[in-house]
Amino acid sequence: MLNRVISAVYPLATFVTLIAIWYGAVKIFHVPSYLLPLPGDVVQRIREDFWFLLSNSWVTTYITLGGFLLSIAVGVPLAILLVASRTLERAVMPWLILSQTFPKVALAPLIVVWFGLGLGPKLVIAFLVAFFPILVSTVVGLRSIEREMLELASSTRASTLQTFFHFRLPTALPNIFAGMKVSVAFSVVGAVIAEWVGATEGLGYLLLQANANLDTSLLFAVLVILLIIGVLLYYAVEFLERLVIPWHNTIRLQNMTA
Amino acid sequence: MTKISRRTAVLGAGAVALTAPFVRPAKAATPISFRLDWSIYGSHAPFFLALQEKMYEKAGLDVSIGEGQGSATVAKIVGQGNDPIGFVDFTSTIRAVEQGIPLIAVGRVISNVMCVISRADAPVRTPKDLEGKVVAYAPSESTGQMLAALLQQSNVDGSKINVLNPATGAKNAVFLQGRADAIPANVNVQVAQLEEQGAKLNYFLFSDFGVEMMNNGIVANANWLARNKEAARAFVRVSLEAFGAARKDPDKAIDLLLKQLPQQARYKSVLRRQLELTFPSLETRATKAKQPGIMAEADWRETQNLLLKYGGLARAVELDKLYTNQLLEA
Repeated sequence: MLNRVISAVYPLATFVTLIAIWYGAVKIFHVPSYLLPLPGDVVQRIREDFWFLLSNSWVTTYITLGGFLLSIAVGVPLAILLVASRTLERAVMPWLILSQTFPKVALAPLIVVWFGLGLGPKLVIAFLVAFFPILVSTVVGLRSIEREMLELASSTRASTLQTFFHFRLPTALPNIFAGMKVSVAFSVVGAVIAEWVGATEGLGYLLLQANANLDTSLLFAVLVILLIIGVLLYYAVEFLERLVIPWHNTIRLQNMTA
Repeated sequence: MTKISRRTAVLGAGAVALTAPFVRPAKAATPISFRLDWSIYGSHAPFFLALQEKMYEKAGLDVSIGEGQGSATVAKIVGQGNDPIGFVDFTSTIRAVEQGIPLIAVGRVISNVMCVISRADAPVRTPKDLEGKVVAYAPSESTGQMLAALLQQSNVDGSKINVLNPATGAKNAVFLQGRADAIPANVNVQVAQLEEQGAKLNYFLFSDFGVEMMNNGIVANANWLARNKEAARAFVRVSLEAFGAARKDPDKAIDLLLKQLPQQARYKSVLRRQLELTFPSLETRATKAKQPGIMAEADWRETQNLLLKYGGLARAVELDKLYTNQLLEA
């Protein structure tokens, strides 16, 4: 337990140092507030508009989670299909990769014009940004099973479905979780992009408002909140990982040094 | 007095009840989701005045006002029919109609707001003064594109001007930092924002130097308009009346805007100044002393010509496809 507390000191120390550098830079270089507000001003702003910021944060988190869950719901089955059928993979994968080199920020306004300003189009945008990491990591994970495991499976006369659920899928889980951690961070970005182009509430919308009104302390307040949301979601996925695959090397080794 | 039997009473009540579905209530209000061009700025206040004073309601309209994401996107949204009416820049309207999007302008509101802003201690008073200076604007901005028109009108050599292209939104900061000497901007938007940051400004309008152009107005989806002429007529009439009312009492207009949108309260002084600077833009040379909102063919021709010459518009559009004064005629 003490070890846990001590290891928490490191990121805390980094945080304090960064804040000190921020404060120092603004004071020493006389940076005007429309370029970089003081850390104190940002905290003040969050306190002043707390409930307002909270309700907008909830909207963005909702879209983030929606996009994330949609990515899993579509990404994992699609990956399974691609691994099962070599032909499908050869036909579809290059196009999927191409779709990723495409900046979603450019596509987002079109999606809004086609489908309107509702929740659905926003989930689609968040999904488009977030699903690829899950897809790729699931494919890699499903393929990473060792030959000996497959031979073990066939020696127990496991059907294809049983081989999948009891052998392939558990082997793939560490990779899937790695993909999920990346994807959850991307989902936050996707939600913000979606709100940039077609929203009347949410943190992305507040960023637009802050920009339009040269309100830099609001901009930073929103950035801080987005940071917190991203970190919380990341650690939530990691917590889930701990519960689902406690036997995996990554978890066991971490617990050893803790 | 004849006694009414119980049976008659029940049958009578039943007969009345049966006619209920056929008895129409007073005509239901037409829903109109009105899409603004951008995030809230002072010029929008009159629409909120009309909303809060129930002027739309009295005219039989159920209006909701939403912020927009730039005239280009809003033009497409209104063209799609997602929102039947929008507060859209007329240059975006021309571009949209040229591409076949079913839009039609039904009321002119703001014109000739393009200006060049410089610092009071190093003022740029004429386009000629821009030579040798640093000018900043985002590549996609209409004010940046029309700067070329301003320069040509005044025989200014564009190559003598240093141009920076910051991203949209960074232009104000670049100007305040002193990295740019002048910025092309909209007098009803950026002037107040910069003054709020403590800058002392000098500015001149493009129209002072021969570049006259219509800016924002009320634009409707053409198909929706064909089916809802009376509602559209009422909307335009009420909105223009609201601009008149706002002119008489701008403080009230801002207060009513803030009543509808309390989170804008911290920008109150900027909004007030933006509204103040909007009033001179409500008429053009060709429409001086005429009915508010009325559009002159000469203005449309001039605006389209500027777009053709400097705005990259591919083909001219027939002027009568762009606008109609029908809703303004008594």
